[in-house]
Amino acid sequence: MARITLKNVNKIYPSRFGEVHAVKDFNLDVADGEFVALLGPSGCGKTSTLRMIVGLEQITSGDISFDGRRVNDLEPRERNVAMAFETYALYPNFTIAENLGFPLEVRGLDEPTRKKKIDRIAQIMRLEQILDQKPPSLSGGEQQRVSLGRALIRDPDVFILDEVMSHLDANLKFQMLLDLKVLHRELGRTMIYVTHDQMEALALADRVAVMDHALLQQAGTRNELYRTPANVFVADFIGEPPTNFFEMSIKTNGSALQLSNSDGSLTLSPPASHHTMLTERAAMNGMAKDVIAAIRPQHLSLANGIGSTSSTGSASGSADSASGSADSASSTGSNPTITAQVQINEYLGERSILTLKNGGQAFRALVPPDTATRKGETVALTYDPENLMLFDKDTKQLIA
Amino acid sequence: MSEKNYKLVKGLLLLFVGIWLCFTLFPLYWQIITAFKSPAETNLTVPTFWPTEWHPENFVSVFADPGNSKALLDSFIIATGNTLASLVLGTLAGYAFARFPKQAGGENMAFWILSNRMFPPVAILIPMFFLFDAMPWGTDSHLSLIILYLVFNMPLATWLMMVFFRDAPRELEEAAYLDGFTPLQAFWRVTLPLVLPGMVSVGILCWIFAWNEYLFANLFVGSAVRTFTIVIPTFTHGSQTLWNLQMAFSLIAMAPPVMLFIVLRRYMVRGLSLGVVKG
Ligand SMILES: Nc1ncnc2c1ncn2[C@@H]1O[C@H](COP(=O)(O)OP(=O)(O)OP(=O)(O)O)[C@@H](O)[C@H]1O
Ligand SMILES: [Mg+2]
Repeated sequence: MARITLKNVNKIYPSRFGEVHAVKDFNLDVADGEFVALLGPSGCGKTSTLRMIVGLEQITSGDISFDGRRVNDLEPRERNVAMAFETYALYPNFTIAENLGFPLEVRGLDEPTRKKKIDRIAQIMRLEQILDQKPPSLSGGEQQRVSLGRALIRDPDVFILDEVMSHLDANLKFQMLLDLKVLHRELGRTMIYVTHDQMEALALADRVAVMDHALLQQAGTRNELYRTPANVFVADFIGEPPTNFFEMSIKTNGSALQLSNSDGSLTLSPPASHHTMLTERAAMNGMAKDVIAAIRPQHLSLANGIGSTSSTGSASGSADSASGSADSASSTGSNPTITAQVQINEYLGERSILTLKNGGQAFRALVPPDTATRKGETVALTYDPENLMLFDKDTKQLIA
Repeated sequence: MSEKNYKLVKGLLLLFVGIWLCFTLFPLYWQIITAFKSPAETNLTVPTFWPTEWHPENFVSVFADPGNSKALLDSFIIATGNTLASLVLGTLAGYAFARFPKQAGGENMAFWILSNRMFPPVAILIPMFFLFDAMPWGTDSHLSLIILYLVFNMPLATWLMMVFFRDAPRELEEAAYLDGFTPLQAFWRVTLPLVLPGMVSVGILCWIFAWNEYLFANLFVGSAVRTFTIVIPTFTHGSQTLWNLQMAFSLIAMAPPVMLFIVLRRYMVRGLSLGVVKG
């Protein structure tokens, strides 16, 4: 059992061409028994973070502790962690059964107990047929399962899994995700799971830590990441299809308040609850007026009367009046709208993705699959102002 | 390629290989037939290309002098002792260079060790003689040649083992650390088995060098210890050479390396291709 705490952890690799700062001021608290996913694009420092946790890499600065005990100077084998490697790291001259049993052997387990555990893990990982073979003759997916199995066969305080499903086909991955989830519940051990696939992370983890460019961007539950992304990167990275971003500035006109793009062709209505804050921002000098507004394709829906024949000008006018009414009464019936021309209508089975264009601004909306709009058609899309996310244009941090 | 061209190329290839084999195998053929001839037949002005009379007893009379069989034993002790020492030192040094290059002295240190192998041995012949003469075991002993040949074999072993260790994935050791092994255990159980084929081929190279060495042996040893390489010239007395016995004795001396090669051939091929084929 272990609670893992990372405090101001840094990793700097010396290299011939200068230093590589792979992990910057990383702070994270993983509760005992928690399942945390570390999510981020390739090269953002996920593996480096893991390697410091398990003790394979020197910590440049900062502290890592297990249950409050500082482990910085402990050898990997003294930390009681199990890890599945991104590169599998299977012992090539041992059979699969020997590979699985190796960690048990060094712990002095007797042969029958070992055999029982190997058989059980082989069943979970679907490896029964290949226990006598050696790693080089296996497929990538099989090797990956052996590597995962070798980590799971032990009973450590912490499991560290680095990209363990990247080479599995969709079907098998789905099944294994389920198995892993069940296994985690059964064992109740702390697990840290690294991936660059948000689907895996969101499906498995109690909490997801999103990394980019050596920095931890945000750690939170699925809902927190989805509803209140800490910054533009997280808003963009989490969610499928990607979030729509609009560069806007705050326009006040008496008591009315709107977000408008540079040429005024597109306007968005922030929720009434933000009006005071936005008015204050607008009153400040300089760049504070400029914000990045974001809305997820899921939160845009087609207004009634698809393919309205009204021109763009009058449509934006109607958006204005709609926003006005949204101000006074945020009832669901009178949500604001955006008009745009359909560029692409992608049919994806349970849904369709519309790629739309308003002037120079492209964005996407998720609509029911039977939507029959064609390229070039002008449509009106409504949204609930509460779903609008606003970010500072400079710092890219969430402001509302 | 058309059928006709293919046949032509194949024919040319066979022709080339045939000519090449004639050149390389002729001395061996001559050695074998001479070993079975009578002394008179070896000295004919017009040589015979097939013994008129076979004298297999030459292979027995070689050992009439008990010193000759002892020379084979001495050579064996020296070659084997040197090979073991080269492998132990070279494996440890190679591992250090591959895994802890900074602490081991870096690329320059590794290259300096290799360069020791490159200078002409004769350049250190005399200094080495005086150096070893001052040692408690002197020059005329097994130990002197076992140590001396390290000058040539250890750099080779270190360098090749370093290459093999570099190719052995580091993550396997790391996985072993996490599985609960100490670094030494991980080295023994996980990494060493991986480079074993390479180690065998390095061992063969070292052994053959030490077995065949003549220059240093000729100067260093001679009475208490004699290697077979310094015995072979002794079949010449004055202006007369016992060609048949000399050839018989060298054939016998050729047997161990050939046998070694045949027995360990599988390892040798795998070892030499270790650096080329990546998993
Ligand atoms: N041993 C090393 N020496 C120098 N730089 C390194 C070393 N290991 C990693 N890096 C660099 O540190 C950065 C982070 O690497 P890391 O392997 O932690 O990323 P990652 O998030 O695991 O990526 P991926 O998803 O591709 O596995 C990269 O820029 C990488 O090039
Ligand atoms: Mg990685």
